[in-house]
Amino acid sequence: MSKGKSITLLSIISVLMAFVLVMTFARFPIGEVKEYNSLLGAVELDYDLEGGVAYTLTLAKDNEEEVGDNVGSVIKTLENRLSALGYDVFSVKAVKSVDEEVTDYDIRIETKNTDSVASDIAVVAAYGEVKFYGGESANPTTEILTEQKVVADATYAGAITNRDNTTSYAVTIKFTSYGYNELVKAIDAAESSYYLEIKMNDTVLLSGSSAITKDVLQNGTVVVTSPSEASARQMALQMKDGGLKYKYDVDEGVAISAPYGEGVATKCAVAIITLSIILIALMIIVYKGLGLSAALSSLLFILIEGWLLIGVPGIVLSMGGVVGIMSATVLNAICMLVLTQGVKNEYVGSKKTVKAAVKKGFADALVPTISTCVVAGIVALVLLAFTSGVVKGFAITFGIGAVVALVSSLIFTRMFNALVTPLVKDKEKFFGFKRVDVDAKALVEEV
Amino acid sequence: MNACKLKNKLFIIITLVLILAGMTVFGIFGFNQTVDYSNSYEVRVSVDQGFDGATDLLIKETNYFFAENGIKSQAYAFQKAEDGSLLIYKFNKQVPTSFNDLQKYLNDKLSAAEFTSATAKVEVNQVIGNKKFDAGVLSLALGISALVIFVYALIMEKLAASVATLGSSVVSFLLFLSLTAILRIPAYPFVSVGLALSVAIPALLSLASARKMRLVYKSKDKPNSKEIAQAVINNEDKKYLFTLIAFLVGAVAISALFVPYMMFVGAQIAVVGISSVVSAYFVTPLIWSGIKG
Repeated sequence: MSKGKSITLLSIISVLMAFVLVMTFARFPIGEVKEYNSLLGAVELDYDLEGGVAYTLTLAKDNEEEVGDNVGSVIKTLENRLSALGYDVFSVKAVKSVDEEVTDYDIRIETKNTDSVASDIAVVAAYGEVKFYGGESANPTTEILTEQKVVADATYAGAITNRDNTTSYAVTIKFTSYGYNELVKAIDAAESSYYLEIKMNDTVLLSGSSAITKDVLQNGTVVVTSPSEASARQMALQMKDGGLKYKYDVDEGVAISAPYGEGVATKCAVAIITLSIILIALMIIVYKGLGLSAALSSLLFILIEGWLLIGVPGIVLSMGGVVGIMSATVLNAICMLVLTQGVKNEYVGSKKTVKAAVKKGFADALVPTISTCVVAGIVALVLLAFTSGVVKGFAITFGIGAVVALVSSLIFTRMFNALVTPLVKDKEKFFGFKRVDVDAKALVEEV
Repeated sequence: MNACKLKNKLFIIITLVLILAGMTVFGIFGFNQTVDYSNSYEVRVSVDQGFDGATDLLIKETNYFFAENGIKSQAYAFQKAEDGSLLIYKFNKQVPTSFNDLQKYLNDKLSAAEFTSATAKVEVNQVIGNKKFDAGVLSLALGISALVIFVYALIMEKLAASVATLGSSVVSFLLFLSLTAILRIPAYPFVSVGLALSVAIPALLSLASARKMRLVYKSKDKPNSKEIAQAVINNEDKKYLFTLIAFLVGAVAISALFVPYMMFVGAQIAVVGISSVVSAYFVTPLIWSGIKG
């Protein structure tokens, strides 16, 4: 590549990177009213970094069954239900005054503040059993299917597009063989249409306004739809698990700060930036010219990882995610080291020119770099599949980081190296190469 | 090479002692469980009316009260409601009886600061948490990860490299667990992340080194596996040192913010760095050359 071309391309890339850097980290006013709030302002944060809302569940006065030592199982049930509704980071605790006169525990749930959080908490804490009503007229009131378990499973099945281009959210309800057989019997016995309504206390889970047929039952599975994702998830949860054994009143909720302290998200960003700057500086100090290329691609790594946090739908950054980003930053540095050390070894262990050593070094580093990122990716994928909460948050950002680190080390480092090298006269000095260095090859030659 | 042998022997002895001691401590005491794992106490300070400055005064005076009464564990966690009407301090031990005086102390301070119509209320609560370290799921996930990495290494770099990679991960995992137990680093909520990293990082370091060993071994007519392994690992010491420094820098960066939970995270990141780098650096050549003979 000619010097002129290198300078032009480097200038364009530098301007672009500077622009993206400013847009990523700077905050500035736009006009008199609006303010540009940087990339950090656009990242969706979870409860542990941003705070959220705290609800207190107090045992209702008309609660019939004593909770006693079962408070632990109540907490566990509530945690499972919150997870089922898609909450990753939350806190559920039983709280009781040390005053001896107080005997019952309140339950405090803290989680991220979402549009549906109030209704989600109401569903999670709902009391009662799911009941089935059937008959030959719409909205039946005769209770049926009272002898055994009726619903084997109920799952949220995702969004579906209707014929009129509106979106509905499906729930698949799988009946037990008892439930299915009894329903088929009832449908067969009906002189005209047969209606089924499913309720939990006063909440209608499945409206009995339309007739149910054997075709709809599809061998024991019914697909019903809901207008919103939140209500579909809530319906699936209640169909499957019913309500709590104990009746709790839920308060209005109070907004609450992050459990890790106020401003923790900004502090985490400072920690990540500090780590990145120090690693970039170390790369340049230790590996000189090659380190510079690695440092520039590390900068791109940070920017891409950050923008992916906004661009990939559904990512909510938690403290686990922050640790994932930091680990991915270290992973990226390891990939850069594999590359730069490979090139250096190639040069000092042979009589190649700098250009030839760089080419061969990059080629030889291909497999170890890929392997490094594959190993990280395997761990991230398995954790993503098996775990939840903090570890899942870590797996997401670490996994994304592994992919970006691979691209960054294999493509960007080569690109920057190709752009920078033509500008340098004394390449050996620029790269800090000395053939007198003792390396593995030389040692092995001696052996 | 004598120096290398001595280093390896030292590594084996120190690692074995640490793992044995760590497992004993872990077996007897388990993890150091902080407020969010174990049953604990909390102090809720609330004020009936919001006034500009009243919350800041309450925070300042409550912290002063804690300091005066030698109460340190309050630093573990602190939350407040957005309007400043509620402050929650979490403790992992029984709250001292001196807390009975906190309400009066705060109301005196509010009155003295011209917040006469505001009333502070202090409640001490016993808290039951249900968060448990889900060892089953995590062990399964990490076991599967290690197996898949082993198979990947076996396909890419043959048997010696794959066993060396697996060995590094296992030693690192045990070292991380042991050091966390011995140093009594609070486990929640990142011990799972630390364990996952202690499997992944040594595996990826070890795999790259073992590949180099295999290539050099293959290129020689009469290869001496021990010397090749040692020469390759010595040549890569900069990579290992850099990785260790990177983890320590990360640990310091996150701890230096002086948020208690993040200091626990920082401590775990440091332990991950030490156990991963040390394991991969010493175990890889030992196992690889051991298999190659």
